[in-house]
Amino acid sequence: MEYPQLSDSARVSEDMTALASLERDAELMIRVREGDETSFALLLNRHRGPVVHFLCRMVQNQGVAEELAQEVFLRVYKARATYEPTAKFTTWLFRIATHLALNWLRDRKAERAQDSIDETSGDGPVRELPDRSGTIEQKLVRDARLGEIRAAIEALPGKQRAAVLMHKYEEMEYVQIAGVLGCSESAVKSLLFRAYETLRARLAHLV
Amino acid sequence: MRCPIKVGNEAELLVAYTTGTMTPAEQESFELHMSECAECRELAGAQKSVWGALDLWKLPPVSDEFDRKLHARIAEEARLPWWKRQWDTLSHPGFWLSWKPAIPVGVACAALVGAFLLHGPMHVPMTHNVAPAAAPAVQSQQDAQKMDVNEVERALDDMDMLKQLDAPASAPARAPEGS
Repeated sequence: MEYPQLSDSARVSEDMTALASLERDAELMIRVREGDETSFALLLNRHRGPVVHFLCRMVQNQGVAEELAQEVFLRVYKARATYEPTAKFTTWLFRIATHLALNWLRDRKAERAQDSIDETSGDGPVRELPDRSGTIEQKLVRDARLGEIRAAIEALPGKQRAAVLMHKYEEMEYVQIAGVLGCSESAVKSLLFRAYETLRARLAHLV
Repeated sequence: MRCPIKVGNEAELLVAYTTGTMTPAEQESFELHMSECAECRELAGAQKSVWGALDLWKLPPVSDEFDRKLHARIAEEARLPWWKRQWDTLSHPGFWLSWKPAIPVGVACAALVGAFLLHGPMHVPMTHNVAPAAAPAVQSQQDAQKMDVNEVERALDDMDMLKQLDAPASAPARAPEGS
């Protein structure tokens, strides 16, 4: 009997924290609208990491991801005068990020189709967190696994990729992902389940 | 519990199971089912493996230059002339997409105005307005035709008269020949 009660109270606590966080974002953005630069710095500090990491996994290039993330925050700053807290701030933020990433992937695909010679040129692969533990053999195995994970994610269609990354790494709920992608909750579920099915086929042997 | 694969909701259950978002009762029920169903057990194992594999993908922190570059771009943006900033806003697809819900209404209004101009009451008086304006012209044309006919008739009459004037002079001249 105690377990569900603890679980419920923990959930309520989590919900309250999430709600407070949402209200805080909207409040900060309203202050930015009123010309408070410190609030923009606070928003940047709070969301910089998740946005850059999401974009990094989307485009698989650290440099490009950071440039796109700068564009995201620049757009947020430029739109401050007309900001209305009608949707969650993070939904809006990730909608801009996803839009930019999908556009970049589309342009990249067109470029690759036009000129396959440039495919391996100075694009710079995504940097992974260096792990200095273990032997060289373990490191090689780990690198191979990471390569497979990245390849499997890269092989997913753009929207499926975005849905999986938001679900897995940003821990977003279906309804919020639907808000970001501009589709219904059932469409998000369909995207996610197809993506996980593909990933199961490719990655199930890894762990 | 019925087999989720047969029900067709296995994908949702598998995700909920691996993300830990099932209620304790749902989880208990699903685990009990998996103990008897090899197919579901295998699927759940594969989904957990994927979940674990994705956890391996760690990324480095954001570079220290990020904020400096962003603020440089913001400053650069602020230096642009007002018309350039406005143009950037207007030329951005997002600006026009934000009006997307109003587009069908606008198109419907334009179609209504077009239909009203073509077939509405404004169109009918235009034909009536043309008739009075054209009437004098038609009348004058008819008058001109009448005048022409009169003149021709008069000319024919004049010719007859001239013939009659000539006739008495020539008739007596011929009479003595017949006699």
